[in-house]
Amino acid sequence: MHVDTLAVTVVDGVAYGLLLAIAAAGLTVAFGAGGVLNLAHGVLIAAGGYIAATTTAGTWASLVAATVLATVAGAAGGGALAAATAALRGRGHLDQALLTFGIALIGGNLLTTIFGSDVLRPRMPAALEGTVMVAGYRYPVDRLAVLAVAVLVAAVGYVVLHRSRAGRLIRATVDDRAMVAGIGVNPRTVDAAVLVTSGALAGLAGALATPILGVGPGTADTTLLLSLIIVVCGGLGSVPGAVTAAIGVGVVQTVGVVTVPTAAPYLLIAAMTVTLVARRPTVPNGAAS
Amino acid sequence: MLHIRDLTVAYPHGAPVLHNLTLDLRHPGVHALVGPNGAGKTTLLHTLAGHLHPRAGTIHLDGEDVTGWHPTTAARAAVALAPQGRRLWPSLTVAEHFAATQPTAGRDEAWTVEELLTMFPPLAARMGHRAHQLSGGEQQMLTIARALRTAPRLLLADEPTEGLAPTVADQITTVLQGLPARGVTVLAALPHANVAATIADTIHVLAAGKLLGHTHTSTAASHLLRRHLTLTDPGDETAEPRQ
Repeated sequence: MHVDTLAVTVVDGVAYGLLLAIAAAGLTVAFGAGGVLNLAHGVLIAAGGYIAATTTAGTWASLVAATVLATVAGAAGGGALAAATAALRGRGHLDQALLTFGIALIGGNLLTTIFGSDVLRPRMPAALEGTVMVAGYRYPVDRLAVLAVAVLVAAVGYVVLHRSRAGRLIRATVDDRAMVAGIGVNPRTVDAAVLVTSGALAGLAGALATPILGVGPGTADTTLLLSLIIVVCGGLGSVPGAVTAAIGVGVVQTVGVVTVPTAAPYLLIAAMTVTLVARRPTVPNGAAS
Repeated sequence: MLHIRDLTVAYPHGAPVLHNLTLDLRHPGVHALVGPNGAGKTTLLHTLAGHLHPRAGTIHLDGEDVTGWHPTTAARAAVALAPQGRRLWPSLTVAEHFAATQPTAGRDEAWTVEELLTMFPPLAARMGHRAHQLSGGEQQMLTIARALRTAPRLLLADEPTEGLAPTVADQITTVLQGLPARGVTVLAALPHANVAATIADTIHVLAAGKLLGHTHTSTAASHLLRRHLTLTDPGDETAEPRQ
């Protein structure tokens, strides 16, 4: 294959990986901080995608509205999940997994009932429909725009997590939630805030992914599976780990399909296996000293 | 200010660790809990901080019944725990520990970060380091500083000098001794009566989950402790250091 094509494919992979990172960051933090294993995460991503696909009408205003609407819907879904899982607090991951899995099944069916079983794509403004020459390569404008927004969201997320009090409290809750209570901050408030934010990011990621991937009945399951792979490979509760793993998954998925099409279905699982075998075991909420 | 009546505390599915414990801290000052490992000192401090809930008995703080409260409530009521093992947040820097922790509502005589760094000078040079990169002494200083940053009236310090070099331990105990002048009462769990006697106004002797007595001098505390220990566990702490 051509070196040029490979370079473009790697950029595709990074863009896809960043989208997955935005989707999975919330999932990993929700698990690390509050112990909530949210299997309905994929439905929030798909809902964001459907909202984007049906709200956009080829104008900039509708594009902005679609993005905002997908994010708000995701946040609302996250809030509902926070309320639902809070009632199961102290009953272990399995009960929460069962509840969120049930919500995922119902939500997935509702989405198919409402939006049909076709793969939908958003109608982008004309300015984003063409291609542009970047460093000698022809590249779709909409993908570049998605890449730019994804980089921006990841940068804002980093700043919030590391420079704001809320972000520091979230990281402290992942480290040792009892000591967060010990400084007078209710860790359950942190859990709820994390689930709402996580839902908002899922909705946003779903909206951002539609120009590239479209959205259909398989979206929820595929994105949940990829997110879970990223969460496990990146280390439970670790955002930098999730971002690294997500970009890895994105590149393996896109480059793999182009370079070794026959082995592509197995590449991701093989990469995951290698990562898990090679990585030193880590303990979530590890000892402080 | 603190009145504990007939307190019985057990871990989930376990036998009680504290049995009908009654203890009063009547005056502000530094108070020591003394006793061997397993006496129930940590259990008592964790119960007071809301991390454990008693099976029976009552706890009153300044006349208010606070039995079975939650850690968040305890912290907001100005009771702070500097736990054994420090329990810092390993992925946060020293500066971030101070930024995340703020005085709880209505406590205007709050400790500023500058004051805390003056109190613990080694921390000032380590602001950008993560908690797990600090020395044991620095970790203990940060643990106490984090607790003080919430502006407590009552500081529960669990083994604050454990595993520290003598000079560092002296720095810590000097800080604890100065706290009552700033309106902070200290209840510290300490392994030896002689250490307790140098810094504490009262010494409460705990063994096997029961209060053996309280006193103002190390001689009496050591006597109480030794008498009990020779009855139950002669192997432990037989070589009591000088008085």
